[in-house]
Amino acid sequence: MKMKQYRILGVLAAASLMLASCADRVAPEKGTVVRDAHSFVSAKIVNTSVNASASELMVQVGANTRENIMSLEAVPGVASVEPLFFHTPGKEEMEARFGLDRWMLVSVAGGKSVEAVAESIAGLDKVEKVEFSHLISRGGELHVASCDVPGPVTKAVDYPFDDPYLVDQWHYINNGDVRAGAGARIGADINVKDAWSLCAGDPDIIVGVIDEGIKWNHPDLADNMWVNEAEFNGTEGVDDDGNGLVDDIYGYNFALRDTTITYTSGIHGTHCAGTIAAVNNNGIGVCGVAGGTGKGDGCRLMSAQAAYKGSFPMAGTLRAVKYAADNGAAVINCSYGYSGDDITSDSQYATNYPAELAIYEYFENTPNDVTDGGICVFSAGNDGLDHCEYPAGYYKFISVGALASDYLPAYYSSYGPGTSIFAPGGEVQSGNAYGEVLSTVVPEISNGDEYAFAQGTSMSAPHMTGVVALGLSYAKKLGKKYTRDEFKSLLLTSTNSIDDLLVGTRTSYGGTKQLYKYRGGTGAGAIDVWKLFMNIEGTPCLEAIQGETNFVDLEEYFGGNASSLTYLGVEISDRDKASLGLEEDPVIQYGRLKITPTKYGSAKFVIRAVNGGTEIGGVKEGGMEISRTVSVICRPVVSKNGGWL
Amino acid sequence: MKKFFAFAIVVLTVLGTASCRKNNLSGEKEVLDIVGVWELSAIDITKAATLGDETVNVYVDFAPDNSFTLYQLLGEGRYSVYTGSWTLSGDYLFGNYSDGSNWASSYTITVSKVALVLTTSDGSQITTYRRIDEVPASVFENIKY
Repeated sequence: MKMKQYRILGVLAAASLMLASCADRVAPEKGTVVRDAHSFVSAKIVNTSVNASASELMVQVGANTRENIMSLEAVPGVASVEPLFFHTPGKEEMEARFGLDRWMLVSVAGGKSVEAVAESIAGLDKVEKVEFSHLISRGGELHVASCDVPGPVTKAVDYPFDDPYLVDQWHYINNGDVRAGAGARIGADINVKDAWSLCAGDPDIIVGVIDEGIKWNHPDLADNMWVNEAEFNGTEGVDDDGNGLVDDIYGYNFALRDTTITYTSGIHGTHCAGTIAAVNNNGIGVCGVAGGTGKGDGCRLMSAQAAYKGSFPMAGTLRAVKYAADNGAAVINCSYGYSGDDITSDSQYATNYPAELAIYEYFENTPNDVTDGGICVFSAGNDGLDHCEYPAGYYKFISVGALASDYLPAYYSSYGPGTSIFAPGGEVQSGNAYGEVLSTVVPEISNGDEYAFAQGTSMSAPHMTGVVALGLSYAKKLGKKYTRDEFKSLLLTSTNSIDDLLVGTRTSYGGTKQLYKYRGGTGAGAIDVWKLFMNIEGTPCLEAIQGETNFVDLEEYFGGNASSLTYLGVEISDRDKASLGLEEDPVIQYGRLKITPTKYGSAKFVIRAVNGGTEIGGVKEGGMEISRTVSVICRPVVSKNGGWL
Repeated sequence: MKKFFAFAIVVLTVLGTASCRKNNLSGEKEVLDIVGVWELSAIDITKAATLGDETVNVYVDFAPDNSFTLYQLLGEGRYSVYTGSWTLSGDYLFGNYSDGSNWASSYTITVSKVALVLTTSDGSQITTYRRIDEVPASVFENIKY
């Protein structure tokens, strides 16, 4: 069967994907193989050869023995057999636990039918599973447009870092500049500005970028690149750390099975890396979510190269994920997936792609400084489907849909069941690219530009990945540890709902959409970094509307009797007052917090009250002073529960 | 939310202008009363952003104990029910939902025997409600739980 290359180009991916139907799957007696004209009826062959490599297979044997490998090598049509996953010293127990040591990569000799070889292999007693090596592609839509001289600085916003292009990164700090779109909304961003004053990264938190190679010498990325110290300080041409790879200094090129990370094969990996952790506050370029404060304190980027010129060979992708796990990555960014409706259920994914699932689970069970397992972040897909595409949609993975600068789903983004959360992915505007996501690119293939705009769920996933890394950094700073699932829960409950905006229609480059269709389909909603930090601290967040006198209910802080307590006062720092543009201090009135923010922002302050009386005791019988530190977010795009009033 | 769209709904006869005034011989400020059941009858948005094709049905029951129950149906489906508390200070109305969320806006109101008009604090949206005896049975038969 001829191998076709499928490259996802979002809405332009009209390349007709004629998927041959999956044939009936009858489970015969063990060891027997029955064949009809179009299908392979063997319980051991877990998927079909449609959209798969014609030159390799992945085979799981009963035990990793020389004998079993030899029996594979003896099958007609097999050119060679090697382990699918590179063994890492010290990881034997984990590799065995997830069966990684029993997966083999079988190369099919030229001119031989991969289906026939699969059948023959499946006929062997010691073989447990045979998986066709399915093709993956990247999920980004690259309307790459170069970036002009940075836009004018808007005085209404205090930019915390001096990177000149931060003003054009609406996805971090959206001041409603219409260059990012006619509907651009103040606050339609990840709400990271004030969080950055608490923490902007930690060099011990490593992010695996499973993608095209990262341009590791990019001036705005170099200082945040992960470095394999043993190889960096070791001897060229020598596998200094004994992991089976030579000179893997910033990562390794698993796509081409080579030491040299190729970043001129595509900008995708470099662009994603910049969103995650471009160096902040270094006077040049752009900002990254977890890029630090300019003092070498950004998270680190590992280039686990899995892609070359837009295509992700399966074996290389899986090896890249293992590399990330074995070299300390706490989170991986996976801006790739299968085309359209190839897989439509979790059970189908688990059945058809066991080698993949095994390695992602291996990653999710590899502990780091903060959590007892890693976190996998995937892009939801650009085919605009009403359900998440795969692998993102698998229930255990965090899948990220894409928002535009108006805080609404970008036209291309998939949504619905399987979609965990939304983050900015950008959207092209007619005539300009400012509505897309601005990040680092590769000048050698970008007409000399070091920074450019791109859109896609490929861009929304690294926002979330950067947020995961930033959250882990803040947790580490506070000395907190979590199970992996606890941390995922914090991530997926630190959001704003956009449901109350999902009314009427929205017209964009992708046509006109009825917005109510997205209601209930945005997972947790839009990620909010301030809320994540407050969740990590354990400080509940209140919301206030800009330009209004708000009377905010205090029950979450002061209990059910909050509205009838006697309050002693509010203590707020000048920084926090300024962050909300408060002309006067907040006070308590009608048993509620009366606060009139004139700017969007986030702040914390202390409210003091009396418990057990109307005045403090000590002489007369009275009450005791209690106080709570309160967090208030002010956003014109107020997240509510969708209520009409 | 409702600041961003306008709807094509059937506008029922506009009701209520002058409210019945109590005798104000002493010159005291009139005490406004919104207790009762109201049905959304008109929306006037002066800053519409997009037009949609949904219909909107809203009923709100302001109870004497300062709690309220809100039944709303936006477009297709079933009614959603919200509860919370409201406070009226002069002609200034504000409130919270039971889950702690603020209302989208506070309102300046006018009220009569038959109509309640809410104007958002930024003046961009005026909603009118007509007084009814009770929330219709058809709403209770069509609630999303």
